[in-house]
Amino acid sequence: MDRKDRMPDGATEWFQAQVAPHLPTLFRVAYRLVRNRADAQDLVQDTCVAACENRARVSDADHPVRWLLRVLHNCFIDRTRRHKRANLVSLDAANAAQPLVSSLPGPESAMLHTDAHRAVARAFLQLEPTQRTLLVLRLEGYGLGEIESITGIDRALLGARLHRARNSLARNLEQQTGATCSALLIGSGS
Amino acid sequence: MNCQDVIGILDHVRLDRLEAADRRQVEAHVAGCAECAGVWNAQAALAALPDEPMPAGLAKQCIAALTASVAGSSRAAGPGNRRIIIWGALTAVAAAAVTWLWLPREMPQDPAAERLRRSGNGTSAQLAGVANATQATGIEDTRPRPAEAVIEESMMDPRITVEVIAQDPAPAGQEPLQATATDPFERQVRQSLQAALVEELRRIPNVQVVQQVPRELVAPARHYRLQIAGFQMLGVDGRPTRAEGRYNLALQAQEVKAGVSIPSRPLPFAVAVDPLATCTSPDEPATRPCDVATTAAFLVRQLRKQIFPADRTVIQPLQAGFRDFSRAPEERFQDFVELFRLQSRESGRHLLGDPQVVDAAVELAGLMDSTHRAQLWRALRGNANPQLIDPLLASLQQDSREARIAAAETLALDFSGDPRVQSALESVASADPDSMVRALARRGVSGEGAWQAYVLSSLKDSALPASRRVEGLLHVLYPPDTIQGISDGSPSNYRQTLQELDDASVTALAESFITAEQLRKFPGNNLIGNFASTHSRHPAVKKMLLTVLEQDSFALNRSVAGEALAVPHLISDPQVRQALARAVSNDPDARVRDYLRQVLDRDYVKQAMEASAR
Repeated sequence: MDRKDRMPDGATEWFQAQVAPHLPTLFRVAYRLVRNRADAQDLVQDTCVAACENRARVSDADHPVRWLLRVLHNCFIDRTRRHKRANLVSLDAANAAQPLVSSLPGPESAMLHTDAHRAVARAFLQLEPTQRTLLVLRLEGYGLGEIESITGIDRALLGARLHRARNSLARNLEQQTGATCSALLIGSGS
Repeated sequence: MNCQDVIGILDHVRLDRLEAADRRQVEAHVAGCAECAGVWNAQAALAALPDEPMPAGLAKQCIAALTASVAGSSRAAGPGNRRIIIWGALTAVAAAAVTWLWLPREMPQDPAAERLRRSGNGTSAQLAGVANATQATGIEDTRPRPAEAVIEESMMDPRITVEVIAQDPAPAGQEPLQATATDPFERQVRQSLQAALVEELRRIPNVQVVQQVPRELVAPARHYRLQIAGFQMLGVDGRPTRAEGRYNLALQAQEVKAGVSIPSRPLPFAVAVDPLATCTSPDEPATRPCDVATTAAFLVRQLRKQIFPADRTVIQPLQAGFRDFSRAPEERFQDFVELFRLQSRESGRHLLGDPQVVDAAVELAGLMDSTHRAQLWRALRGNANPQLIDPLLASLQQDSREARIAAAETLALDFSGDPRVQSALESVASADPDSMVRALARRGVSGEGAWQAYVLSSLKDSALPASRRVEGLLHVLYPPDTIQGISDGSPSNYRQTLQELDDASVTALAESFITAEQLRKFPGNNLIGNFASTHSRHPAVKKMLLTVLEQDSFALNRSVAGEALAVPHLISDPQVRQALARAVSNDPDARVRDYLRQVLDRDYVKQAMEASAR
């Protein structure tokens, strides 16, 4: 059967008109959130599918891109949560759980530490998902009001969340680059 | 320029739009302020990370994903959902396996299990009769097997092409997966391991080793690129030793995907393996030398189990092992778990749907405790195999609460069209003493609306104990793992569920929080943060946060509540300020005191407090 035959009514047209113009933004934000091309593609695909299920809303939205980013944010949170629940173990976590005989850094760590960009990316990826979204949306240039509408986090709380996200990033980066580690704060993830 | 100005710039100006003069001022400030320097540099470093150009075929992939979602196989057909990040902790798995093998083989039987066994079936006995027959089943398995093949004859193994890279830098435009080896020993090990990997892969009938994965890919073949991504010599006293077997390495596997049309799509997988641990794990005889060939064989087995689409030599031993009634129930359950993992990875292939596997699962459910039985009922969900109806009904009627809930959900989701099930669910829905079981049975009789109504109405029912009030909502927000530690990856609507709570439900959840013990332990702090940020202006939420801050026995909950209160629109309330001040001075846990002190020291909090004082 031809692919188009199985598409929901008008979905292709809807996609071309409402989503395709914003794909570069969606992909850029997705890539910045996950720092991985394949994951970013998956996230954008998930976003399109979820948005299609409510496509009347994106068509009516005053700011379709914000609405799509909101869907992307929710998909991102859900994906992260699913991965956590699936008990996937990162190589770093595995290395931490099973110290190697040698005291040298593990092979994956050595590979990932080869340049500063990777250290920054790793520090960023250690953040809670919502913290990542907040920092990425700020980098994208969104104001607090817009971030509120995308993430659903009350504007009054955003300053606190951003502050915490930046501090966490700085702390993670400090650890990545081998500088003195400050004591970890207690507190929940978002 | 002071700290506040620096934070203000971060809040309101994109770094790349900063005027040169402002940048100089910022630099002058951060030169003398360690805290701002850390935050500023981290933000600048993040902003400087390179972006990826959008893949040319992304729009087509999205349209294909939309098509697939309509067709029902959906995103599962997309490569991303087949992707598994493989545990690097193979040694941990091995260690767990050792521990597990020493578990006593006889498990205590509970009465419900006994009933299930008696209500069992002739097929079990029939299968048991062939349990000692031996079957050559695959690459490593020599245990006794049932003689008959479990696998469907029609199931064809997928074609796979593999490209192995040992030394060469990554092709242009792709992430380099490894640094070029300069150490002669490392180079030699990499080269010999590459050769061994190729030799090992060539033994697999449906695998073809190629020089380069072709650009134009033809479905349904699967294409992988393997690369030795990490290498580390191990040694004594931290000094590396160049010796056979004294190294640790990681193998990275990418699936190269044709996508919808043209663009290939790398999907990173990683397998880390310490050959030393491999050679001493239960997976290998202890006397076996830990050489390159052994390492390659081990890696290829892991690839076949965890990355390549499952083929008969992987599935068949698991299915046969699961049906081998001569083995201990725990061993069989472990094979079932592996099959479930494969099924989760291979969406659309119901590896647990084979009638003989279902039959064996029913038999196993009768041998195991109710916790394992609940996991079996959840894992078998989606098969809708009528063989399950009788044992599920038996479990629903009389079993542990956990198993009854799992049975009710599976019956409601898979068999609500069956007249016997419908009748049983109606009976349970109207008369069962357990409200949760009643609600789940009602879900099968009346649909999702009835279930949602139960979740909200029980939450609002102040006559119920707090633990019962939140039970349904927690079941929605944090559904139980299908198998302990493994989710089936079903989507959750966590944040949406919280957002859609109506006013009375918010009040009810806030009221229940402090007294619902199971909610406060886990995932209390997570829920406080999300709940408070979603409904931070609700008076009941403020009251809840104050109560948690002052009374909760969990330090983490108190610190999260304190932080959630330290926001401008709440901190203007004298009651909130006083509570935070008391916590900073008197909280029994020093970590909470320190953390809240830092929270109150934030510029925006200080500003809000000063404004309130004026």
